[in-house]
Amino acid sequence: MEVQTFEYDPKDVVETAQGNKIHKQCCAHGSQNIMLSGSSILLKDVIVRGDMAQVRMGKFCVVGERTVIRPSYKEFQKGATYFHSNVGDHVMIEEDCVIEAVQIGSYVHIGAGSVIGNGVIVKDCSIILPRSVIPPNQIIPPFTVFGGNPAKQIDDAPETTQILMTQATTDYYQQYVAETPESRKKYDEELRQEIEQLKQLQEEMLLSK
Amino acid sequence: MNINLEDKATVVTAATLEGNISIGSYTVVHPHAIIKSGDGQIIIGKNNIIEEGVIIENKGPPGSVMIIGDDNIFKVKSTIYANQIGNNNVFGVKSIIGEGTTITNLCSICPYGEYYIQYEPMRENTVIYNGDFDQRTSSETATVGFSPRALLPSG
Repeated sequence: MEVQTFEYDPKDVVETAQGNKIHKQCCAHGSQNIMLSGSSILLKDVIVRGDMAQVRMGKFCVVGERTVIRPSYKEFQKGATYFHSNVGDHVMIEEDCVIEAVQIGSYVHIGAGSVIGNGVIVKDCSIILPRSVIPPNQIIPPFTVFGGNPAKQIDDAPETTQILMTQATTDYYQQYVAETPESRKKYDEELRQEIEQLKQLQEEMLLSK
Repeated sequence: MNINLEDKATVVTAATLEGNISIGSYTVVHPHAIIKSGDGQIIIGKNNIIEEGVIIENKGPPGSVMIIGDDNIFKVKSTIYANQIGNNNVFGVKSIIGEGTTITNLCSICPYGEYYIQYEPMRENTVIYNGDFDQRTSSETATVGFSPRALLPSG
């Protein structure tokens, strides 16, 4: 499958030495506690709470718009503590998710609008469907498809999940590129042409009336 | 614009507070929460946790007062327009409480849960669960001694 190119304005995105592409409107609180291994993409309005506990992400992670990643906590008799949360390599998290998991394995796909509860462990190569709600303290086994509110196992994930996810995330990373002046010009021209076409249509409509 | 924070209330600067608001002691407001009192007033009690992206808005007529009790947890991105909220409630992730509603004590609303009934206050111990918004009454009692202070950012 070929992914279309996503072009961003180079003013909006910071690219770090390790190749992380982070949108400037992404809110990383406690940035000293957030560790990105490299080649990860954080899109617009992502909130990562590193001020409560450490958040570690592997290579080639994609985090969609408006997603919230916050560490999980556990209540004890004397109060509560936060745990470090880990995200593996080649993980695709889509937009509007709320993630409070302790651990997300590698090659995991999390659909848009999913809510992953406090203390959940998502094992490798599992797929979570859009808008599913995983209750607190559950373990999602490897190679499963989970969905629904509350989430249940729906199917087994294909054995090629690892290859598919590796391909999908690396493709996404390679296609998420800065806008060049030439492509900008091309888009502008296309827009202008469209506007002219619309104007012509409008005139024809007026004439026919 | 009149914001009154009691002693030991924690409000992060990245949160948005607008209008006539008073926040009780030990209440924690996380970043990106939005609290707007409109033309009225909002009174928030003690020991509440208001997480990221929560919207609490008083949409009532001018001069109306929205009262929120003690020990409530508003989880990420929940939207609250209720008239009155009691004590020890949990509002799940992305839940919506409509205008003119009244929530009593010990209620729990699931992620993506919704509640819009205006003419009747939500009974105590009500639990709204799963995607169909089924309701049941829970036998659980209030958890005592859990302080949101323990969940503060360390920095």
